[in-house]
Formats: sequence, structure tokens, C-alpha cells
Amino acid sequence: MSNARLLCVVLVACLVPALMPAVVSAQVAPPDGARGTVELGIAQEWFHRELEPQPYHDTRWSITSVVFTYNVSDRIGIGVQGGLANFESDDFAGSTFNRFSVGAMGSARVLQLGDWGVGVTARYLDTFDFDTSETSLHKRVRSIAASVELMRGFAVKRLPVGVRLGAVYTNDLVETFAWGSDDALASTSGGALGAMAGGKVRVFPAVSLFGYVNYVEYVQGGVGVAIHAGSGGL
Amino acid sequence: MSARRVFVVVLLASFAALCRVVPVRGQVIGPLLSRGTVAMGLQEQWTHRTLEDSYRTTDWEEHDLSVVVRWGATEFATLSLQGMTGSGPWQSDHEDIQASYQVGVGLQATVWRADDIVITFGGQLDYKMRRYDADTGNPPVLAWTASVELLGQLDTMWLGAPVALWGGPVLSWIVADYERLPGFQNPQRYTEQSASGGVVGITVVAWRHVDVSGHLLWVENPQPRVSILYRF
Repeated sequence: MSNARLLCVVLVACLVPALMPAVVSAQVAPPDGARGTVELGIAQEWFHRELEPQPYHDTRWSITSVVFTYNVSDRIGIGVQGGLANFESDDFAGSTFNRFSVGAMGSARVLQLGDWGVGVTARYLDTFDFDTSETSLHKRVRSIAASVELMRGFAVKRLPVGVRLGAVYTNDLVETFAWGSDDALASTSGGALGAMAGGKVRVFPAVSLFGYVNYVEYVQGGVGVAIHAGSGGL
Repeated sequence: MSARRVFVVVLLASFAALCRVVPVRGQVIGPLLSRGTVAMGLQEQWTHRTLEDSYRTTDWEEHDLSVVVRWGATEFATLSLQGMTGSGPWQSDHEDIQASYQVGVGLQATVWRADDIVITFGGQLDYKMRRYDADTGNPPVLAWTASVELLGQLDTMWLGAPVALWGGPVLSWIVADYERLPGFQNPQRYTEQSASGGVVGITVVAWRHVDVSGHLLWVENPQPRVSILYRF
């Protein structure tokens, strides 16, 4: 199945208003708010994986992206993610990369007992680093992640806080196209299980701060800030 | 200006400033959405531009399928996001596309409103990458497009369904960098031959949620776009 078709399937699956209950969470930002809630923010995420075969001494990368999430119902959330960057890396001297990131995510709160809840989330993220230098050392990373989380909401000094803790599954595929070749050197982490923890706090009526940490072979994580809007918009 | 409106303006300005750090870009033109409305779906757009560098001109014809998200952030502003990755017949007529990526953002704001008529000013930025199979000899392309438009929008009803008719003048700039093939040639930059044009479009919302839209953008050449979105 091609990337575009897989992305469409994930998005369409997320768009189905679903008969099962849920809420927006995604890997990036935890659930927060009722039906119609929108969050629009910037996230910085760090990845560190062990690949086989190992194309580089150490495989770390980070992305900065815009994240849009929407609560389709009180318990179902969907979101999209995208970004663009231009950068150079000490690990690839002489290369200048244009980075594209495109992703989709969804989540469902399958159980709610008072302030406690159990949710599931999934995300597909595709990142392509286009090398504009002579070496044309293009790279692509396709990340699939899913998690099962125990969530709790409470207030600290009247600020709404959400925390989550759970198990996460990730599967990363890294492709390297040396000299602009069509044939990629493909490396994968394979499927790996780990643990995750995350949190979000609303610091102003319309501003949320969020972050998460995963431990899958190594520590990885992300932080971000978002505009928070209820069902009536801003 | 009320305190609430100042707050919203500051928030949107902050987001725009952040977007300068992460320069996402997009090209979704459409009617203004009511406050709080979110619409998601697919858009197919055909591009036909006449590009030139110092020595020659060339035609760029292609079509893209992208995922579109639109949000009526306030009663007077609508934000659009756009993105896609992959390759296939829905992405382009070119069967030799190896990889294709696109990201974009647009913002549309009310300038004037009276009853069923709204005048809006919009701007979009879009960035895309195309990579072709190496054995075709076609160089990869990195291209950005920037557009601004002043749209008149008439909201009416047809067979019980809300209909928006909209259109106006457009300025659309494009910069296409044909990247080097390894060891073969240097990158070449092409830009548009003409940036001015216009757009007319119609949007019908069927069954309260199904947003079907079509418009014809005419800048250098006719470039139609169709979309189907779900309005939550």
C-alpha cells in the first residue's frame, strides 16, 4: 500500500464519526475538552531509534511541525500534522536539507470513570529530507505509533491539567537515497513496545502547553504550545 | 475594538509569527466558514503555469490530491491547512513520480460584511516537492506558490441547501527550482510569467455536512479545483 493511500485510509478512518466513544489525543497532545474543541499549535519532537541495518552510527532526528486537533465528539479526536524546515547537519557535512513532514492522528477514549479514563491513540508520520547539495543524500522516515493510555484530569491552582501514562508501540522505517538513487537503503526498527507519559496544562483560557516522553529503546519526546478553542471558535 | 477581538488578533499574530519559524505553506481558496466550523476532506487541484528563466519558458502541468482542513477560527477569519505525501495516479499524470510531498497554509479574513454579502481578503502559501524516477532524466522539483486574493462572497440557498458563490481578483506567484541530477547539471530556477488573474467558485453544503466545492482559478492558464469536505 502506498504512503498516500495509507495516509488516506488513516484519515478516513479517523473521520468516521464512529459509534464508539473517544477524544483527541494523538501522540503529540493529550485529550482535552469536549466535542468541537480545536487546538492549533507548534510541536517540537525528538526521536532516537535503533535501526537494522544500521545506516549511521547513531540514529536521532527531530521535527518541528504545526499540529491541528479536533474533537469530533466528547470521546473521539482526530488531527493532522505538517511542517517544513531548511537545515544543515554536522552528521552530513555539505548537505543542505529541505524537510517535509506530513502526518495524521486519531484517538478514542474507550472508558471513562470519573476523572479517570482509558484511551487509545494512533499516528502516522512521514518525513522526507530532500538534499539540495551535489550528494543528493535524500532521506525518508516513516513512523507509525500507537498507544494505550490511562488518563486523569484534575486542576492545579485552578489550571486544568491532564496527565497520561501507558504503553506505546512504534515502528520506524528509515530510507536513504544516496546520490539521488531510486533504490533506497532501508533500515527499520521493527515493531517495538515501550512506555509513555505525557501531560498538558491550560495556562490561559486559550493557551495550552503540552509534552510527552516515550521510552522505546531510548528516551524520546516532544513539547509544544497550542491555541485552545472551544466549539464556538476563538 | 473589543478586548476579545484584540485577544484574538494577538493570538493569530502569534501563530503567524510561529509559522515564520516553521514555514508551512498552503493553497486552499474557499468561502469564509462560520465561527467554530471545522471541515476536513480532500481537494484535487490542477496546476498549469508558464514558467520562465533568463533563457527560456516551459509549461508546468500537473495535478495534486491533498488533504484539506479548514477552521472558522472566528466569525471573521478562516484558517486552512493542506498536506499530502505519496505517489500514484491520483497525485499526478506522471507515472514516473517516485515521491511527492506538499504542505501549506492559508488565512482568510473579513474585510466588509452586509447581509448575505461578505468581502474577504485571503493569502495562501504552498510548498511542494516532486521526485521522479532517476532513469527518466527528469530533475526533482521544489516549488513554492504564494497567492493573495480579494473575494466577494454571496451566501444564498438552493433547494434548501446553503450555497456560496464567490470570486475575485488573484495574484499568484510561483518559484520552481529544478534541482540537479547528480553529476549532470546545476539547479535552475523558474518563475511565473504573469502573476495576475482571477477566480470564481461555488460551494454547496448538502445534508448539512457535505461541503462540495469547485472553482476555476485563471492565472496564465485555467486551473480548476474541486473538493469534498465534511463539515462537523
